[in-house]
Amino acid sequence: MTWKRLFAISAGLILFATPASAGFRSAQLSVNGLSCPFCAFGIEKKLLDVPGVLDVEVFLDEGRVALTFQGDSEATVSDLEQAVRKAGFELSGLSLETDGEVQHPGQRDVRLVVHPGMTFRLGEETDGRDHAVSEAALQRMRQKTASDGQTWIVEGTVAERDAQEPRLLVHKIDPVSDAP
Amino acid sequence: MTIRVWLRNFNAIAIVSVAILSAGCSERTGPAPEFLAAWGESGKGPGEFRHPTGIAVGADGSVFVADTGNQRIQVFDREGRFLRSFGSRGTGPGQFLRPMDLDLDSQGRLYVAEHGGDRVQILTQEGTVIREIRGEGTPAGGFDSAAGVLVSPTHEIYVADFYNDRVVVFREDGSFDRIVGTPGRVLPGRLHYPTDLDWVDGHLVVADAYNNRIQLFDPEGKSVRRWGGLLGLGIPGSGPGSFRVATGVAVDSLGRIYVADFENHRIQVFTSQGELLSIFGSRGAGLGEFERPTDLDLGPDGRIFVVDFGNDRIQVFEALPDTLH
Repeated sequence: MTWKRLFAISAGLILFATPASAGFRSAQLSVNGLSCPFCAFGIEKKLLDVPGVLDVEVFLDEGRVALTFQGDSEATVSDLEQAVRKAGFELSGLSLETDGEVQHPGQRDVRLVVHPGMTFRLGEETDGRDHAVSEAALQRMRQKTASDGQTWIVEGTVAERDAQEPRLLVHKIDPVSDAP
Repeated sequence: MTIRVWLRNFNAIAIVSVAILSAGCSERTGPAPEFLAAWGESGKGPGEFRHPTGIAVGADGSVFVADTGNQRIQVFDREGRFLRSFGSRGTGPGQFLRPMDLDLDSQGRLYVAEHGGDRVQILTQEGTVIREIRGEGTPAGGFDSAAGVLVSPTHEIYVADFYNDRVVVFREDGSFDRIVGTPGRVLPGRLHYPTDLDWVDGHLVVADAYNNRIQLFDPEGKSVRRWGGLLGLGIPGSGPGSFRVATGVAVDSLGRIYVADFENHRIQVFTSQGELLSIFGSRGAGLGEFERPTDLDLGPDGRIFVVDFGNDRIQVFEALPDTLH
C-alpha cells in the first residue's frame, strides 16, 4: 500500500452494509446503555473473539469501549459491529485509527478526521493519485470512490479543530448516479 | 356514544386495569432492614474493588466477593476485614476471565462462574483449583458466558448460561444432566439473559434478568411461578414488585426471596409465592443507598450482604424479622 497512513473516523448511526477494512491500530466504540456488567463484559468477550483484536477495555460509565489490534489485523468494521450486536447492543459511534484502507458503502452522516501531513484514499477507483492532506487541499473535497461495484461520491470540507488537527467533514456519501 | 356512556366505559377499563396491575404486586410491605456496615472503594488494592458483581457468604460468616474488574476473588471476615485474595486475569487454572458469581457447597468448596472464560471453576477457600466445568456434552457444546452458579441441596450444579438464555444442570460429578428454560420472552419458561440462581422449597429460583422477572421451576423444569410487573410478563417497571433488570437473587432460611433490582437501585424481598414483603434502598452513594446492585447473599445470622456494583463496595443490612413472612 502506497497511500494514506492514518484515518480517525467517527460515525453516527451508521448502517454498515459490506464494509471492508484492514490494518486497524486502535478503535473507540460508543455503545448506548452500557451500564450492565453482564452485557458490558459480554461486549468485551465478543470483541475479543474478533480476529486481530488484542485487547479490549470497557469504560462502563462512559459507554465506551477501547480496542487495540495486532499489527496484521484483518478485522473489519462489520466484524466489530456484529460483535457488539451479539452482545445485545447496537454500535452508536466509532472512531478508528488505521494503517489500512477503509470502505464504507452505504454509510450516511460519516465524518472523517484526517491528520495533517497524512495521505489518504477512499475506495478502489479513485483518480489513482494519493491525496496529500493539507488545509488548502481539503477546503473542498470531491472524490469518486467505488466498492462492491458501486461508485460513490464523497463530499466534505475541512473544519479546523486546532492548528495541529484539521478536521475533514464529509457531508455526503452517495452513489454517483444520485450525486448532483 | 354519549359522554356518560364513554365515562362509564372508561371507569370500567380503569378498574380492570388497576385490578390487573395490583395482581403484580402486594399492597403490604414490611419494614426495611437497618443499614449496618459498608466496606470497599474503587481501586486495585486489598479490600478495594473494580466493578464487583457476585457474592457468597460462608457458614462461618466469611464473605467471598467476585471482584470482576480486577479479575480476582477477595475474601473478608464477617466484619468486612480483608483476609486474602486470589486469581489474576487469564485462562489457566486459578485464573479468571470476568468472574461474575460465586457459590459455596455444603463442604465449603467455592464455585466461580466466569462470564468471559465460559467455565465454572471449583476451588478451595484458599484458591486452590479442584476442577472445572466447561459444559462439555451440553447442547451448543458449552457455555456462552457463565453468569451465575448454584450448588443445590441435592448437590446438583446449576449454571446460568447468559447468552444461551438457559440454565444448564450438572450432576455432582460434573457430567451434564439437563437444560432448564428456553430462550425467549413473556411466556412461562422462557429466559432472557439469566444471571443468578437459588433454591427454595425444592424449586429452582432464576433471576430472569432481562425479562425483568423471577421464575421458579419445579424439579421437572416446568416454570411454576413468575413475578415482576404485570403478571410476570417481563414488562420493566419501578413500582413495588416490578423490576428493571433483576440480576441477583438469594433465599434465606425462611424461604424469603431477595432480589437485586439493578436499574431501580434497590432490593426487594418476597415470599416464595411472590408476595412482596419489603423494599429497601434508593439510588445514591450514601450509606444504605445503591448504585446498581448486582447480587446479594444472606449470612448465617440472616444479615443481608449486597454488592453495590456502581459504588465499588459491599453493604450489610440487619436481618429481616422472622415475623415478616
